[in-house]
Amino acid sequence: MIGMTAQAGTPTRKWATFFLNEEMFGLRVEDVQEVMMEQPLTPVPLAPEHIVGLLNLRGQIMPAVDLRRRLRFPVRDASQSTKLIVLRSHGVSVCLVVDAIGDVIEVASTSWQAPPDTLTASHRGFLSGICPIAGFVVLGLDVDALLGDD
Amino acid sequence: MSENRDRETVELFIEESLEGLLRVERLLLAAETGKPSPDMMTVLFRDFHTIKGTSGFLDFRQILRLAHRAEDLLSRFRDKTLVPTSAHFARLVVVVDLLRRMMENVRETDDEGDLPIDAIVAEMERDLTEPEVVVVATPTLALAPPPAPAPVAAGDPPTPADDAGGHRETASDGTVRVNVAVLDRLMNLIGELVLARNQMVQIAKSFRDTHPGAQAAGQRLSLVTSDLQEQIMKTRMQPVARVFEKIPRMVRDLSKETHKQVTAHIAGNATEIDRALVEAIRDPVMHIVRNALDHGIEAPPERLAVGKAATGKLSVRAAHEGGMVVIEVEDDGRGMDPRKLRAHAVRKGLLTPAAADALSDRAAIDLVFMPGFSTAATITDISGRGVGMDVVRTHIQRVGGKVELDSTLGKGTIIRLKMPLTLAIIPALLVRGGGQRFAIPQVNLLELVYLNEDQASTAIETVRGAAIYRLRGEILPLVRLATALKLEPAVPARADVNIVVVSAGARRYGLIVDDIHDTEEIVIKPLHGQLKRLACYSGATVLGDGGVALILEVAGIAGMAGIDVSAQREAELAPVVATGGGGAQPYVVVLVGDGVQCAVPLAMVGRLEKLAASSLERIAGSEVVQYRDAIMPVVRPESVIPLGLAPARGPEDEQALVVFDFGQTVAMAVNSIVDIVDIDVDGAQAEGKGPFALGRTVVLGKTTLLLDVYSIVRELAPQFVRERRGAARRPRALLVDDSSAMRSALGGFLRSAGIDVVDVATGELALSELKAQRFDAVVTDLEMAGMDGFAVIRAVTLEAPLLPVFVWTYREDEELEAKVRAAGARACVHKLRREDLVLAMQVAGIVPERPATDRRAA
Repeated sequence: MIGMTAQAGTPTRKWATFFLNEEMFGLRVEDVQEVMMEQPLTPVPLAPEHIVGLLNLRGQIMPAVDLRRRLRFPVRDASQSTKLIVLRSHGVSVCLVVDAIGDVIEVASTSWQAPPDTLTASHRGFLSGICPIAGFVVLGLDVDALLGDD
Repeated sequence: MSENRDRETVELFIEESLEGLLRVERLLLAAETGKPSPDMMTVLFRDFHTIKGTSGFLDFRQILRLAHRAEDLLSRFRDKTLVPTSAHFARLVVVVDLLRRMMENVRETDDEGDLPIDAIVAEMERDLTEPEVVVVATPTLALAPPPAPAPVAAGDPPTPADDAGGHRETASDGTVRVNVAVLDRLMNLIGELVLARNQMVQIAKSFRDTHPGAQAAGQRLSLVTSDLQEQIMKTRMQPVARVFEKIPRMVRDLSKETHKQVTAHIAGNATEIDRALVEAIRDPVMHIVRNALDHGIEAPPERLAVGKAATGKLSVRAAHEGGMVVIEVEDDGRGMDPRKLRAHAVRKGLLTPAAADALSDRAAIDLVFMPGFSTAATITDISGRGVGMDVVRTHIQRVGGKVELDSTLGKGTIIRLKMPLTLAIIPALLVRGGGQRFAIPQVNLLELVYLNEDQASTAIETVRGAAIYRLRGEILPLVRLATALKLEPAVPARADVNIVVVSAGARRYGLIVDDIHDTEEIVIKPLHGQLKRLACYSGATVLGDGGVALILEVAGIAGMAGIDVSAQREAELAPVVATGGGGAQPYVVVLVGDGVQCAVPLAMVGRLEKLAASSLERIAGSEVVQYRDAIMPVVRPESVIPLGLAPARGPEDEQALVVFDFGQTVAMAVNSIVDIVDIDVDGAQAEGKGPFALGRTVVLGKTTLLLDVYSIVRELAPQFVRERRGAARRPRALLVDDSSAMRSALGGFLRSAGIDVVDVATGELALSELKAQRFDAVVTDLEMAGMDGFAVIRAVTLEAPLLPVFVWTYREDEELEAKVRAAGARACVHKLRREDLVLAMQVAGIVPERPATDRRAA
């Protein structure tokens, strides 16, 4: 398990990982409400391109953000299946459309660093760091930034 | 019983007293825990004093006696001539309890009831006469645990413990505080439960045969769910009393401050409305009340001078009406003067003088809703704070409500707020557009129009690319929902058309949708983040089948489609509304006279036509054209403005017409129609300004005169522009009847309905009157010596083709009516139904509809 890389005594944190365009990303597990199979979404005409629809999760309506579009990755094939990750932050829920879900891993909090400048420039705000040891990018959770303009 | 004791006042008294008693109780409890606040005695004194005063006014003697003694006792404490003891406080607690029970009695039976108060009153009287009773010397009060009736003499007044009924609702025993977030969560869950219930019931049906009990269980689940839903909804509701309770006090203070006498009547305190709406209406209601006191109700001398009672009346009412909560604030003050409002709007630069002039009285009154109308000049300290009616309207609209205003000069003003019952759940119409479902809030709905294939092809007109539909004479701009939302149109394209007529602000428009489904109660869920910024949606909702539908914000869609929703429709029809930074508006550019480029506002244009020049005829000196089975006058701008002569046309040549709709259609003959362009009126030069032009500007590289269509039409075809828009005078009718008694009876009736009447005994006299002055309508009898009614109709039709004639007669048969109509009369009314005549005139647009005046008269 990758968590082993954490050195004894250093505080660790659990990350829920997922894949997007074959890259691994991580979210703090506390921020993840649940993970779901594909669900029917209601499109919102005139909405920004990355907001691909509204999801009804047990009576709660939340926008679904396609992270590929949000991060300007190549758009996936229509045939490619997706998974949904429901996040909750400051009372606002949002659902992320991702390619696949990875493991929950535990890493020492000291082992992640600021993302390279090139990355932050293009996705300012919502990518908060990378973890070189585990080799994934940490997705900072700012729902407004996820929903808002670039 | 006191004559003052009307239900509303009593209800108010109870509310106010119970609230006061609650406060008293809290203070007494605080004193018990040893933390009396410094001004405690003053507060206690005031509350008992209020109860004493009002109960005296309403003649509730027992309450008066009890409150009076308590007040006396407290005045001694307050003046420090008596040191309060725990025994005193215990007695006061008993008094509070007794008063509360009496209030309950009054509420239920209109009578305070016969409670044993003698003992406690005697106790207090003894306290008052024997100051040396003081036993506790320290000011720190240490009361025995709750209402201990220890010092009360045997023979016992009731104590709270005796109150076995337990139906009292106080903060301590009947209510709990619940976090609103919890209520919201409950609302969400019940919504889900409803969906699960629906599925369950379906499944239960399919098990009907194998499991006979399943369906019964399903039904039971269904019932309980509905009940639960209703109850949870109720948890969010609060009585409007929360807003209204402040009004009497405010009225009292303000009337004192302004030296006016005002009685406030408040009704419907118990009307419940969503808690969020209670907050939303608080400021608007207070502002309207303040306005009524400040601007509406006159000072006593002024009232007496015009024959009103010195004391003004302010009524505030709340009621449920057709799924809405209606809050009405009515005063019997001086009303609004349309002339002053017009002048003010011009002074503020909101309207050009011509535009202001062209407004009907109704539209002039609505000027108060214009942003920037209310200013320091019209606002005193009282209504002040820079908040105008526009803010009131904005606030109310923001929560899905409407504001209506009716004012009669000299009689008073009514302002009506129509609010949805709740913000969370609203009735809405589900429609489909571009293959997706959407919800339109009922509050925005006016009507549904269905046009079949044939109707659609003829009824939907296109004015240079902009689709319009004529709904009972009113031009309705059309917006295709799918297009507005940039959705793919429905496949296959449909030839028939569903129009949802909606109102956004003062403007109406038609929304073309693919399909119209049912009306449903929907739960509004807000949108977040960037979705919130999309002006076309006000939220989303979960539908019965679990799907999600976006809730349309009709004002936002209108805005995106380029329909101006803020401007008054009539102001748009009037010449040119000075756009306070409003920017460009579309104009129809035409060539007139010897080729002068002119422009008229597209908003005023009904349609553009090309006819053979031969179809223009001259009747009685005026040019007219047969148009859709009616005669339409033709005006030529060059006959009032020196624009040179239009080139002569042969009968086979085409004549271009710009058709305006002023309630009746009027055509302007032009040489040709050039284009439709946006013109920024602000940029126009005043240099070309004249009685028939609003200014000059450069359009398409040429100097262009902005025509004042209204003035031109008024000058050239006065009978076709109803002067009510000018509003300088009341509508005037010519009444022809050979019986002087009938003339007097009908004349009086019409005058009271706001119509000036000139009455004559014969048709011959009528004709000379017609030549002498202008009328808006002719009312004629049929049976008369000399010229009979038919002759009058014919003569009038010849003299003024579109002047409406109404026949009134004792005869009543359809054949006669058909004959009369064939002769050219507008309607045939029975002499015993005078109101029908006024109604017919309203339908013809001669008399403005005035529901408020009607009601007052009733």
